[in-house]
Amino acid sequence: MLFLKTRKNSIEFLTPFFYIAPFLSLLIIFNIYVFFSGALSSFTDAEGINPGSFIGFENYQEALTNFDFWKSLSTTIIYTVLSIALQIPFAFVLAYILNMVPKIFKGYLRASFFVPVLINGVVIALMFRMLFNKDVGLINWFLGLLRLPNKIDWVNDSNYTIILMVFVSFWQWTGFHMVYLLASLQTIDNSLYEAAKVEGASQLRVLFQITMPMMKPALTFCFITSAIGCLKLFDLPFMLFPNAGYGPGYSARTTVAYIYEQAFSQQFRFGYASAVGWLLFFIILIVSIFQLKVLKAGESDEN
Amino acid sequence: MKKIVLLFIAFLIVYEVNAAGKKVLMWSFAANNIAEWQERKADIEKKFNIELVIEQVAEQAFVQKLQAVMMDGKGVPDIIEWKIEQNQILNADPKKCFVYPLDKYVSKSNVFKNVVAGRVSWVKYGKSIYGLPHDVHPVVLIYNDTLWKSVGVDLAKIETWDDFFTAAQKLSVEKKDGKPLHYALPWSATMNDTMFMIWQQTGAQILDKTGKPTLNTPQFKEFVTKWIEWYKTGTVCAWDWGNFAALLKNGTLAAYASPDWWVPQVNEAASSGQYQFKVKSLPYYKKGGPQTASWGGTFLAIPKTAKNPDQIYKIMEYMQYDSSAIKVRYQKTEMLPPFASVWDDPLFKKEDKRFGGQKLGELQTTLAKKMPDVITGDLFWDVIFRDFGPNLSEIVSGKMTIEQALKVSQAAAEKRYKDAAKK
Repeated sequence: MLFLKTRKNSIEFLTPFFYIAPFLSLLIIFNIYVFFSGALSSFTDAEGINPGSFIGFENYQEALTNFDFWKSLSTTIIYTVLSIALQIPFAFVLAYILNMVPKIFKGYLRASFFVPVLINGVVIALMFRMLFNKDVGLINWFLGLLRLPNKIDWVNDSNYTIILMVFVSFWQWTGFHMVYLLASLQTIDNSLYEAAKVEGASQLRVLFQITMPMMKPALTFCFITSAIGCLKLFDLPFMLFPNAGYGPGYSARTTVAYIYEQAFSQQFRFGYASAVGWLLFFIILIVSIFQLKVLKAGESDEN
Repeated sequence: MKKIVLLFIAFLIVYEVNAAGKKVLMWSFAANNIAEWQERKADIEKKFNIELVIEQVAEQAFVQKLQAVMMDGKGVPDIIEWKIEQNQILNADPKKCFVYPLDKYVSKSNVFKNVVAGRVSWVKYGKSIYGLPHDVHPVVLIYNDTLWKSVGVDLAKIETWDDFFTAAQKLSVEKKDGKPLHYALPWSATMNDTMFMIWQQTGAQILDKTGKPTLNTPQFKEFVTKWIEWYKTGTVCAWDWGNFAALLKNGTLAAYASPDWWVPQVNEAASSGQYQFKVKSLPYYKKGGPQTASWGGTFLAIPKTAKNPDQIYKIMEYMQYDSSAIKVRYQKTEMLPPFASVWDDPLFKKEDKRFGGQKLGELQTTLAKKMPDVITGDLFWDVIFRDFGPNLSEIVSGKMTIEQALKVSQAAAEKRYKDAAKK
């Protein structure tokens, strides 16, 4: 009897683990294992099919004194700052407007803004590369109709690289943030607005003192996911510009493109690439912690 | 009962071991070629008493996956089919190379001696040959004769690229919104396509025989200067893979340098009947020089982890160069095999309706015999795409002079060379 009870207890105890086992095993194989194997390899001179030998912090030292690494990082940071600065405020305004739109249009508009999120990044990059083609692209054709300069070599001129990257990711991701912010807007208790109305608060005051503070968790989520996505950017510059991930004058070489180059150019410097990957991980971690602190994530200003 | 079960298990083990010994795993990224291998699978299997398993591996993940399985030692292919251009996996130092050098096989082979030398140079790194080329991809000039003749130019008589671009200015006179209605050639600000093909005609090597970068030679500078001059004539058109055939069909593009696999791009335009297309050898870069080049291509190779390279080589050679099969390859894919001994076959001398009865195959085989020699090496692709490519765009946009760009590119390439030499 006692045996049966113990057995029943242990089955009950183990059941949740069975449920999460598929996820857990995938997590261990594709994340945790890779995570630690990458960490180990960052301390080696692994190249090509040779696992390499331990070289301490040499790879990290090399990366931190390497001009190309810093240049790729600065490109990534500029792109990240510009993207976030444009996408999230615009998504917020869009969500705010959409929240006031009659219900019959709301679903349609929300879906329209969200569609780009569902398109594969590579497809988007190829589509925009055709649109921005200097001689036969639609953008220059349209500029020509307006009697504006229509021979702009968008993808081959380093002046436009960051602008183009920011523009395309704005088109792709603003809808995603908008949907999330809209959902958050809709959860705000209407009685707060009614109380503000009774107190005679202006629209602007309502926006800054009720709506925005109540949306802090959602905004924090958008800021952090957006920052992480931007700092990991790879597919867009890789496909949008010539020279696979470099762009004109190396202006599109993001940090992940730099990692890719080190790992998969003819030298196959896996150890070094892993070290740069870890540096990027720490940068993302610091940025995320900073954002969480600044935005006091999870807390609304209700208190 | 127990005995029967044990016997059955023993049978299964023996069968599995036997099957594993016969199984030959091949990876390829090229869908076109896989169709050919699948069609010939039964024949290959029968001839070598093997089970040929062909897996398509995505081009973008190919090298990463190969590297991973080679380090792991499991699921490693016995044969790989990889691209000749930007191939990364070959190295002049056999120790660093992903695949076996094939020198001991090709030196004794009566079959391999028929493969044209100009094609072998693409899989020769340092002193070793690492792959069996699938194709030769001679480049010809396909042009819209109707459009060129409408501006009084008979391209058949044009001898050099300089003449070509002078004539092209007549073609691009007619404009809309300030842009030509017809362009002479497709163009991009990289050394990927048209520029890459014309560069091969110049003889200006990217690396010297010792593998050292040579972007600072007068010949290479002369070529880049000419290329930029040609670009500034405004007769070339930026293009994309997706819209190429449409640009030919609507007359926006009036000519293109085409390897054999790119010829079918003209099919729709030629069959529409609006324009008459013709074909000729590439104009000379300098009179007396090569009138062709190559673009694209694949090779078969044996990863170092393959267990029976001697047998694998025999299988590969049969797959690539069996004379009856490679004729079928040309019929089905228009890809010319790099195997000179079959080029006299009537198959390669047929009239081609797309080009008003001109004999495209005959032109291709004639040109393929005179492919320009290109010195490849460990840094070749990195120097082109990573050291020179991004600076070429800067020349085009006017941010760098040719001298500055070549100086910076050469410095980057030399650094790469020194770094590689240290290891």
